[in-house]
Amino acid sequence: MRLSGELIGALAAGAIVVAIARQAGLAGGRAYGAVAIVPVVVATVLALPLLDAGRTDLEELRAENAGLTAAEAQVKSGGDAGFAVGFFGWAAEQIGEDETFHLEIGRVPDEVQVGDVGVRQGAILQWGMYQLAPRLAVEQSPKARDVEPGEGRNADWLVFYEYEPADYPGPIGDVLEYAPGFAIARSEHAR
Amino acid sequence: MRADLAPFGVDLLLALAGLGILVAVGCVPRRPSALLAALGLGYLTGAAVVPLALIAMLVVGIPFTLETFAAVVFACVGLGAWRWRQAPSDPPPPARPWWRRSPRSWPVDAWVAVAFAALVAAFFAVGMSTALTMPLSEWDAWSIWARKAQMLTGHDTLVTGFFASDSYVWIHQDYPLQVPIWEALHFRAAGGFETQALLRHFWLFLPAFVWAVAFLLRERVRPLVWGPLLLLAAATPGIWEQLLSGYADLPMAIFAMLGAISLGLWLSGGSGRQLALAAIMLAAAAGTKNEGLMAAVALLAVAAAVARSRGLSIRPLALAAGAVAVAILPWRIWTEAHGIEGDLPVLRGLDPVFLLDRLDRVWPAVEAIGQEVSDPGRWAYLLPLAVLAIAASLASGVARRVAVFYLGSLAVAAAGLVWSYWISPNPIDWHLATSATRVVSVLVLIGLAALVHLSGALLNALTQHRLASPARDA
Repeated sequence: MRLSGELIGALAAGAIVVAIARQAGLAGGRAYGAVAIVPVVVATVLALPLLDAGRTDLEELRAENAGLTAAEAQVKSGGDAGFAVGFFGWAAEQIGEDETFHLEIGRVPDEVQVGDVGVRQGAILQWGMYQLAPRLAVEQSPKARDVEPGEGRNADWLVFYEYEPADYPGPIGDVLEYAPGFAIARSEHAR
Repeated sequence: MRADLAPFGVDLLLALAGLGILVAVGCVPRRPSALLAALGLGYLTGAAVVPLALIAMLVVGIPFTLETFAAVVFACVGLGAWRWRQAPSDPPPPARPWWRRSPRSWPVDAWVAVAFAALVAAFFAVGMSTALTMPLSEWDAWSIWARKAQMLTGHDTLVTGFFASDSYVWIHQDYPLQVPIWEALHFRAAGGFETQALLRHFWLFLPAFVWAVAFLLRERVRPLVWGPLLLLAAATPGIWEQLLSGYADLPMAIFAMLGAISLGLWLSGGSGRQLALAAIMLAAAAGTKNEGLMAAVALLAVAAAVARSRGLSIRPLALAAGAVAVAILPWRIWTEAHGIEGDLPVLRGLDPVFLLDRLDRVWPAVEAIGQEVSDPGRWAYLLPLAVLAIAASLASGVARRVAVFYLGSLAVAAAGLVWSYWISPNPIDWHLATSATRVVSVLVLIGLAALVHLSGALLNALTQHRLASPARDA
């Protein structure tokens, strides 16, 4: 294991320093005290190159994000992951901050399942609920695809992501469509 | 303009609150120059105490607003001011400190300190210019920590429809709120939830923590030692990269490290003031992440064992441990009252049958933790160097009690991490792959505490240098 090698190397360096210190006439605690030279020297040797490498990395990061506006930065993580951040932004404009929502996400044939939860669906769910906050989600199972009849009817709004509103197993109000498969609708028990 | 500048006002107020607390507990001499020297520690103390107080207030129903934040800051500063006037005078400063003399007469330590400050300041400036535009990209940073801060920005209370709702069960509702509260203070000051304005404040932890360590150990460790070691820490990618991720692991590790140093100082002949600071920092570590609670328990338990074996009274330490418990209790009571359970089956984790059934998880966890802490590109050999300093101290008797404390703390904290992977319900490969890189931070930073503290003691033994207190306690 790499850790063992590093520990042996450090202890060996210390032992050599103690031996040299004893040869130089230092005894007892003073000879062991010379071991402090090892970390100080190692730190001095490593710190400056690391600072320089860190500076380069930081400047590259800065160049990557140059010109990124606050609004773009706000949804960059979701956009990079391929989520429809434009749809969620539009939905947030329709739903009042004190209103609740329920998110329905369509299934795809090759959905990867971990612990009965679709990885893609789970990720969209997390992002969607983040972008729609501080609005609260209700009756939101992590298994976003397993829509039970009536699930979400106590939310003020139903949010359909890659999901046809007509497939929702329950009564819904007028549908506001953003794009095919992306829509919102008032739920049965909306306030 | 407000989004850019006002959140730095929050940082300033946190630093003032922290300085007030430090003066109140006697950790800072009552001199303006000492207050300036303690600014890094002051910021971290404020970032520790103020969110803990605001969490307690939220739990009892006091709304979370900028007004309540201001009231807490005012109380902390008032406590410090009261103590400043009440306590007997501190010893006067050195007749003519080195910075008032001609540079030609400065000692080598002064030159090292100046070079250290210049290099850290330059690195900090480069990082800050990067942090100013960085988006919040790391998954858990937005999905867990900033999401909670977002709710605390949009709502003044602990909204049960979020913090205790089945719809949000995957956000780790049991995780403590230290970081979300700290983030929400900045968002509220900015006037809204704007994540691009967040990481610049995490970046402040970098100078604050090296500054705080140098200040805490100023009477035990020469700049000749802490200068290069803390410069290496600041330059270590495992530290600065994490600060720009928005994860809570590194702030937690910083609090735990400062708690460890304070306990180490107390064990080497310190007073109750170090214990008070240890309690503050360990409460903040425990209030930041569940792993922080584990680290706090490990540090306090090992300190108690060392103190007992050396015939020290452990009553003051028990009081400090009690203070930690009281500080984190409000959130624990709230989660218990709302039936919120954590991922880890802690009680089952003490059942030998349960542990034996999952024995195959132990070695992968040990291996992954060992691989992570020994990654030179990430941690720059900090842990092996710490082990060297501990071994030299143990062999020589220089600061042996402190060395035993750090060694024991590292061992117990590492065992705690392995245990948490052992009992976790998550698939071990996935769990290690998604967390081991970050959770080892607390081990490396406790190691850094040992490295700086003990290297200073060893160098003092070599040069027969005597600072404020004798280093040898064998």
